[in-house]
Amino acid sequence: MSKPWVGWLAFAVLAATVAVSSCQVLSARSVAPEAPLAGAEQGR
Amino acid sequence: MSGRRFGGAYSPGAKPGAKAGAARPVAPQSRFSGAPASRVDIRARLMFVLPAPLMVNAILAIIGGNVVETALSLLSFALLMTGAWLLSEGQKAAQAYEARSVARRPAIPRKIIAAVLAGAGVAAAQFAGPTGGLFGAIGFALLATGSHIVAFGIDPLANKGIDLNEAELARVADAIDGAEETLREIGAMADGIRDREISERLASLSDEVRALLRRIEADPRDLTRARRYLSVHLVGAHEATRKYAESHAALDDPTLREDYLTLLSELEDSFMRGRDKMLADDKVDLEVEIEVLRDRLGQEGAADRR
Repeated sequence: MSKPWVGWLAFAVLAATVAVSSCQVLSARSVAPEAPLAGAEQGR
Repeated sequence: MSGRRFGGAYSPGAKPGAKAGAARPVAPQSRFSGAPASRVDIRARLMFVLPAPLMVNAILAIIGGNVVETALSLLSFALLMTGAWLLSEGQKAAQAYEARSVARRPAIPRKIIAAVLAGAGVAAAQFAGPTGGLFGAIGFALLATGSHIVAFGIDPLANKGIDLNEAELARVADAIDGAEETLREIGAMADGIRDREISERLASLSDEVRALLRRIEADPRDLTRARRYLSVHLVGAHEATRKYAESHAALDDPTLREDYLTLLSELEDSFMRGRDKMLADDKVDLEVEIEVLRDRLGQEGAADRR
């Protein structure tokens, strides 16, 4: 690897990719309970 | 459990002439001196932390009774953690490769496999997530694998050595690896014996052996001359240490300890003599080469004058 900042930049991309992928699963769980409520309102 | 034996000027077995209160010279030897350092960088360590939310999600999914999400979260977590472990192992192997002048390429391309596992782990996490699309998963996987390779590089793919063919290179690398392994085992047994003097003597012996190994690395042709030291003397030191470690507590014989210490001293002297002999042989080789060159230059000078 020629320049250290390229490595750090690539690591930042990798860390962001892994972090976003693993966190979005959790965040989806926290908003999931609202879905039935929205459906219930539509049915009313 | 027995304690490690420490001592000073008035301790049993102290050297005569040692002054009370005088600072004991600190021996610069340890079983790590001359040993290659292994270092895993902070970024590789962070790779163990980043998948943590997946484990939390897996636990919550178990509680919620969602089998598919649990399986995908656990799979993703396992892939990413295995990749992180392979990456740290790959970095250690690459450093060992860099530190040596004669080395074989790693048998398993750990960093490359780690990059693929990072991609696979991210893809599995995408499937577990709300988007769950195939194209998104493939895109994220490619991004993770590519950035992993750029950030951490790939494993060394070629052997390195000095004018050696594959078989010779393998022989030298095996001999050095074997000797390093034997030294590690001797170090571990020295810790178990818990005797300060024996630990110091073994550390000093290990220093001598490592100095010899660095010489072989610098010029692998020395392996032929050093083979006797590595295959007979070092193995002898290992066997003697193993037997002493096994029996010293039961026998509790001071004569046995003295004999063992004498053997270690003799072995250390022998390794030192071996290294000096190699240096002397190198000097003779160089002298012969200089003599031959000077003769040739003299003959060419005489021919030019004619």
